[in-house]
Amino acid sequence: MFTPRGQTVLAVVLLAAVLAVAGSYARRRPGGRCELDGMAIDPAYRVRAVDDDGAEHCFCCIRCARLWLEARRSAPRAVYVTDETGGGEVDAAQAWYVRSTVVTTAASGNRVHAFRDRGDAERHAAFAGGRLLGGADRPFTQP
Amino acid sequence: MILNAYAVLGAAMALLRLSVGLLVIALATAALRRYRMGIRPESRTALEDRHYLLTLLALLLLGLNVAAWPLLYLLLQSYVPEWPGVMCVYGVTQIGAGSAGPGRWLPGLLAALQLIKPLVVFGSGAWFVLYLLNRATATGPLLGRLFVALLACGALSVADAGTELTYLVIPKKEEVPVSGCCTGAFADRHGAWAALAGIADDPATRPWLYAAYGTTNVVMLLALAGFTRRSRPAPGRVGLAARLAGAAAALAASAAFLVEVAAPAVLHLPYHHCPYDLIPAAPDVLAGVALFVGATFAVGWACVAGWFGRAPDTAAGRAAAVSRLLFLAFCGYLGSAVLVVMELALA
Repeated sequence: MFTPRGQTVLAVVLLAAVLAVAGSYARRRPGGRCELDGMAIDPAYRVRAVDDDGAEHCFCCIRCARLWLEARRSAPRAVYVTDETGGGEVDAAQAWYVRSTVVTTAASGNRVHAFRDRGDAERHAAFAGGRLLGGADRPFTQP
Repeated sequence: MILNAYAVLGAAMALLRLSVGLLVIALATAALRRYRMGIRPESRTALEDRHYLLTLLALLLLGLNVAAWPLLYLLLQSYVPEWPGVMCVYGVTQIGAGSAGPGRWLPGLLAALQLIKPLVVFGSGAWFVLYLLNRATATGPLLGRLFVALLACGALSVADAGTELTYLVIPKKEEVPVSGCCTGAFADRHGAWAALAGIADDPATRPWLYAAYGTTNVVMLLALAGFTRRSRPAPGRVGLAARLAGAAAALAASAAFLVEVAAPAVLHLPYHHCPYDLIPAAPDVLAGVALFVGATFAVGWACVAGWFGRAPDTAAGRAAAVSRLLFLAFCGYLGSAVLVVMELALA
């Protein structure tokens, strides 16, 4: 039915199809990973964004969330950061931010820390050689 | 030097390739000199004996060069856990950047290695194609060209092995990544890849990447489809040149498509444009990449056979070799396209 070359073509197509199906099946992995770089999310630095469609997106750090937001054309409905001192989510607009020498997520090199209270932020800045971010330096600031 | 199984294997293979490459250069130079002085009947046997030894060494070098290419990426992947800020091979390629010590050479050495390795494999394959053509004749009319090809392959192999050994022995464990890994680098819009990321992120230009990938690959498949029949005559010089130009265009379009569309989709990370992440996370896609690269090389080797294999005795063998290589290229393009399209559909 097929010439030898035809059989080779058929074998290549079948092999490629089987490989694609097997590979896609093997890559089905559970959530809990950063939507930008795929790293596991440490709950202490988690950032959650709600886009204009109401869909939630979680990130491993503030840097990943900022990069993701910059790549989008529309503004998010809400962004929540995690208070590093007490845990729990804080509205990104209400949080205090410190850029310090401490890296939160090695893969992204993020050095920006989020706090619910200004006192905690100042203590971290004094302890880790950082400075409180204000104005345009604050992450998630609308242009 | 970071010692692990891959580093030891890589160093051993690089030493072997360096030795064999130097031997090939020495023997090929001597054989070429004797060949250019003119072959007398009494010295022809000695030259052919030397050619057999040279052929065996070149075949060994060919096998080692092919194995050394994926081994480099396995080595780099094995280095990933050595630095806390590194999450993939891209991070390893940046180790040493900004360093004041010998580590500052590491990124340049790796960039050179990633460029030389495909050249070495292509060069070795080109020699092998000419060797097969020459072997099928009674008079060996391509002997002189084979010696020149061997000289070039030997020189490339020595350069590659030397670069790899230098990379391996430079201390790197103490180097600290100056920034994060690929997340920042690709998304911060620095460098050529990041510029591509900017284009791909723009909804208006993104369809162009799909169109470029689809068009170039379909054109190549159509240009090569005829070679699924043995009876199809081999193309002439112009036909080969046109297919080579098509292969080059398909290579450029597919590389951009892999980085900007396929890798983010397959990895389920739509804003992450790093092809190195495919090595641990999606090795099946790498099979598609290998098929595509093999297809591109096969088109190049067909051109080598068609352009540099011309001699009175080689006409029939050359046409068959070109046809076979273009058929292999068709299989490679088809397999790669099927794999990528299905991966994207299932992602």
